[in-house]
Amino acid sequence: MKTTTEPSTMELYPLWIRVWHWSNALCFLVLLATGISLHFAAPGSALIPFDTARMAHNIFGILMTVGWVVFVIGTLTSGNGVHYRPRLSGLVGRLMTQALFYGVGIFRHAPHPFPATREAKFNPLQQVTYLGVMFGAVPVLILSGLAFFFHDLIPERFWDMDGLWIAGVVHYGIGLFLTVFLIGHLYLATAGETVFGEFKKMISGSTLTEEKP
Amino acid sequence: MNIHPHLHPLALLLGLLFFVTPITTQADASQNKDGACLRCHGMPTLSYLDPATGGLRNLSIDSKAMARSDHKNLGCRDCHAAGFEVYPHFEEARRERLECLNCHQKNTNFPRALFESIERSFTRSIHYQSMQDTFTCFSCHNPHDFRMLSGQTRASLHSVVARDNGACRHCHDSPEGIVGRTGRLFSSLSQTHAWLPETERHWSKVRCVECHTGGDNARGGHFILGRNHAVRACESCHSQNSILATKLYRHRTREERRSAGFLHSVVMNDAYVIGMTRNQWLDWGGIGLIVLTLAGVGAHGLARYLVARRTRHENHH
Amino acid sequence: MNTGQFRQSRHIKRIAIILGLGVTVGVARWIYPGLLESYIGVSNAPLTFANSVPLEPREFETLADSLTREYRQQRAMAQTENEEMPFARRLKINMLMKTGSFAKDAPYPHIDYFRKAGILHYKGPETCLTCHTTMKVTDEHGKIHQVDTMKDVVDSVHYKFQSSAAGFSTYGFDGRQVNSAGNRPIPVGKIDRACGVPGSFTWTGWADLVKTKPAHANGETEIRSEGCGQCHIGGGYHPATEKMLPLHDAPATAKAGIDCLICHSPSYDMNERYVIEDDNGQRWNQDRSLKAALTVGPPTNKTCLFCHQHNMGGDLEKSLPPGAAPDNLGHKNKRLLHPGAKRGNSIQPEHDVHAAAGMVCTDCHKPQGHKIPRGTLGVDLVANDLPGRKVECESCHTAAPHVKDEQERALLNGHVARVSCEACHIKKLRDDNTVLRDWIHPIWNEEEGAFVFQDVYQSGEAGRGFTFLWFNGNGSFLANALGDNPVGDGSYNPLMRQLVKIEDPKAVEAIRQAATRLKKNYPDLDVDQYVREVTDPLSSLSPEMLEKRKKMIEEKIRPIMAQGQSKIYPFKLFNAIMYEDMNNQGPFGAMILPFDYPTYYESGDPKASVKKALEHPILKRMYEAPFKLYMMDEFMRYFGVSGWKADYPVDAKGKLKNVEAHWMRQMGSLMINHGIQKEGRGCKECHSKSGILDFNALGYPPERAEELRKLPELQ
Repeated sequence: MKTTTEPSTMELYPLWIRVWHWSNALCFLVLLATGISLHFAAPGSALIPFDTARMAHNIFGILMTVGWVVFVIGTLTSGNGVHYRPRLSGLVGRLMTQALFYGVGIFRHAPHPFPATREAKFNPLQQVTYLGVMFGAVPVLILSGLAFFFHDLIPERFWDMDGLWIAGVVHYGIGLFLTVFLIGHLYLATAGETVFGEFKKMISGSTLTEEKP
Repeated sequence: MNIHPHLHPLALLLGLLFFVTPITTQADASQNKDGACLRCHGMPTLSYLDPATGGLRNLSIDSKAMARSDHKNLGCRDCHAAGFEVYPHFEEARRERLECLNCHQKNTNFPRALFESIERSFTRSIHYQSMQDTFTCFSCHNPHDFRMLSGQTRASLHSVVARDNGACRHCHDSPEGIVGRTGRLFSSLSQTHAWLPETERHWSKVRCVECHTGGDNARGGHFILGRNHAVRACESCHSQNSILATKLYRHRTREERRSAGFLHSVVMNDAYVIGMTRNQWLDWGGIGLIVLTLAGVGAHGLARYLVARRTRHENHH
Repeated sequence: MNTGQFRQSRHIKRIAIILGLGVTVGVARWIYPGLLESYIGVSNAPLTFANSVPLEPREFETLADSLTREYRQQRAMAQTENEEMPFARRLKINMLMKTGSFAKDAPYPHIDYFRKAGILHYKGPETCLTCHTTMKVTDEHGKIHQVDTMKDVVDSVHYKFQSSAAGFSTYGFDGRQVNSAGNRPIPVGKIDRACGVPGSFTWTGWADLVKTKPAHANGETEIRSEGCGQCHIGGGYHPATEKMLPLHDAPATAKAGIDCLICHSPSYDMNERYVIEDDNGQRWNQDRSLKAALTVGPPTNKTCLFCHQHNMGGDLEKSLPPGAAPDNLGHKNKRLLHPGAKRGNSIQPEHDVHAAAGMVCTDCHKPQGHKIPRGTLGVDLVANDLPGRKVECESCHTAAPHVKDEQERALLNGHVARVSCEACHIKKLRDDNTVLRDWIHPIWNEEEGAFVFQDVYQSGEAGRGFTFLWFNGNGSFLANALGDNPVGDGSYNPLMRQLVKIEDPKAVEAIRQAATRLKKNYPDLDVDQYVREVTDPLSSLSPEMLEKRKKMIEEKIRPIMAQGQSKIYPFKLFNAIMYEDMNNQGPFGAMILPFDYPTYYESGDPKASVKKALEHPILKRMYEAPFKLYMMDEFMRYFGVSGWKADYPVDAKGKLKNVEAHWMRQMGSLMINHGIQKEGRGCKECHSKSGILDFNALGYPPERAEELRKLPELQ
């Protein structure tokens, strides 16, 4: 380990993460819109026409899958993964602290309890949520979506139900959960030091400077 | 007729096969009567190449299918009357021209109106319009295994689809056959349906007539339209008001259809149809969840805004 | 370790590996084959053939001219066949031979190929491979592959006559499909199968010279040729044994001995096919003349029948076309003929509708390179090059083959689901069709001047020479058709009924007369006992064996009989009495021992002949541990015996031990598919009291059997 008192700098959002983040965001929005259109399809409705929606949903689904694979590889190889690995001891306490900040501290101009550092750029709540989303919900969403491409591999009947129906419900449920996540995610992004600060950081990057003893 | 419900299928199974003695139980009078016919017509390969068409003319009766069919209570000679008394059959047997309506129109057991409406639909269909009298009921329906859709159980929906589509594909799978009958050259089914995603899957899950009788059910299943009038909008089926509910699933009991869970319990059991098989509770729950989230986020944001404004106000002072 | 040391050790390792590989390859390439050869007692040497001689260019042209003229002459003869006046016919032939358009026909393209390539000497496969190094083979999916021609031939059943691959329709009596997935594959096929024709152990009877003393020679000795090699395309001193041993290929000298022309040349001279002897042993001569080579082309009926005449019409069929094998026995050491037809179904035009229509064998048996399909059905343990390839009537005749009779066509087609085409369209076999053959009581034959085996019953009639069995395409390890009545009452059991009893009074009487004839030469023979044993072969089984047999049939064989869709097929019946190794006996038979041909024919002492054959190295090896483990144990398990008892059946004093003569415990049933007649059987030939089908024995419930005999429509 290096021992130096020189101020060190670190890019919180390296370029590849920013590119992935926004392309993922675009994919998700298109998928959300087309998914809603497919689910609530009806003749003469104002939604995206069924066949267009189907096509777009397929294409952007594949793009998002590719993006997810890039993200996983990037995270595992670049050291970005550190930020997704929660320290279990005292986790509950730290989660409470962060929740208390959003519930109370934020209104009292209390300082952020877990400011971004080289070792942890996410606060505990972020860490747990992102871990669940990127390594839990998204892969299940992708798998249940892929099931529609490779329906021959899905059992025809499962517990006396159409096999694909199960995949459909899972896909729908996860999609719903991620939509809720998206709303929260967007809102909490405004809870940085300034309302639009976090958005700007995700666009142009943010250099973290900290001094080590 | 004296039918023992338990003996019946067994007797048929054993009695009607090609090489078996007629079972001399009292099981079914008509079975004994038909035994003589089935000694030949029960042979699965009783057939010949028809010099007129060059195709195979199949004279064999699948007695197992017959026993399951809606005509199971009929004996052979109930329909095939004149000329079939003995073998070799008489010359008049050759001239036999049977029509469904011979029985179905005059018989008070059947709703007259139904058959009249079928006949009306049929005579206006593209098949009758283009081929006239050479296209008959028997072109699609084999009376020896015919079963009405309404008589089928829920579990057999796939087989219903397969059988009904089989009737269409019997001709439409071979463009050459259609040229022979109509003089028109059709493209292959896979070409004309290239636009339909997951073509084979659609064909195995829904009947051709669902789309090829137009978007509303008023015409009935026998009013088959030309290709330009077939349903092509995905939303016609992929929606809550799916035409499938009034066509393929029309014969589900009224109670089943009325109940809120119909689409969930019945249709979902058969197939997952995007846009159609929606669970209302799941949908409302989802919408509620999103509304709640938005509300929570809004409230929190508003609170932050108010606090920030007060702080600014205080700082100002 | 420093880098220098490391590099050095890596070098040493590399050299060691290369050396090791080199040694392994060397052992595999030169030492191992030699070891194996000496172990199984076979030898290989470069093969020469006296008739393979170079021609002068002028001789070549003379030969080419005469071949072309001969061909045109034959065509002119055919075209003038209807001219009754011989002189007019001669004139017409002369005119045709001078007619420009007629003469343009160049029948033998290889004349020109050879001329252009300067080939004036046919040296065997090497000459063919000059141009045909590789060939295009179309597989069953229509895909074209470029294959090595020699490899294609050497891997074919026609060369190796056995296979270790899956694809047998044969099932062991232990219920396992021969060489199917999950079982250890062993080489099986004609090369080693327990066959009803002793001596067809190809190792002991490959190429033999027999000294005969025919009456017409006035006491002089005539040398005759005998052995399996007369019909197999390998030209070496032994069958293609190498192909059945692990990691072993036929040596180059053996490959150079392959006889391409016997299949490809219609002018092949069967008189060149006789046994010759040289310093390395005995082998079969072949026609390697340039004349035969110039006429090559795809196989024709004539070339196929050079060998297959034996199992079609048989060796004694008369009025065969010119060049046929039985009429051209050899310029010297003439081949011995085999009386008694193997299948007795002639494929000559007057007996077979397809031959009469000018069809060739390969129209139905469509080759795939040098692999020739024999169909998906089969009862005998013969290797199949193309197991999945169908050879069946339906592919041409459709599923509704009866067309003309408007009244009956549909009814006849109705029978197709249960009755094979052959059942009606093969109405009889040749009269000399062998049903029962006695190998242990040979009798001196004046004409041949040798002791000859005796057929105690020959018949071509339905119910006697052949019978009708349910057949789903499967066969037992001892050539019994398997199948079951799809609507039967479970009583169908040919292995306890049709195939183990001869009850037909006419047949029994003929057998008794034959036994009485044998008694003249063998006074000790008990005629009554003889008749009992042959008509009831199960009588030689102990009660325990009989019980075991019944149990195995029910448990192991019935499920195989029940497979697929069975139809009624005709099957030629066959049984023989032979010497058996009783140490290796099971409920379905014992290991058959081969005969040494010369001893058999010359001395008429079958026991001495068996003893002589047992001296052959490979038979000694058969009774040793490596062969037991390599294949014999597995072979015997299929046979219905738990394992191979490797106890050599000759004792220290040179006497046979545990060797007894028995009829096989059941008759073999061989498929008959040729000799198809246009007119099939009429209804009453089966559906009457004295019909040819025994409906009860075929497993119909009694009432149904009665009904089938008395159909109301036929009254």
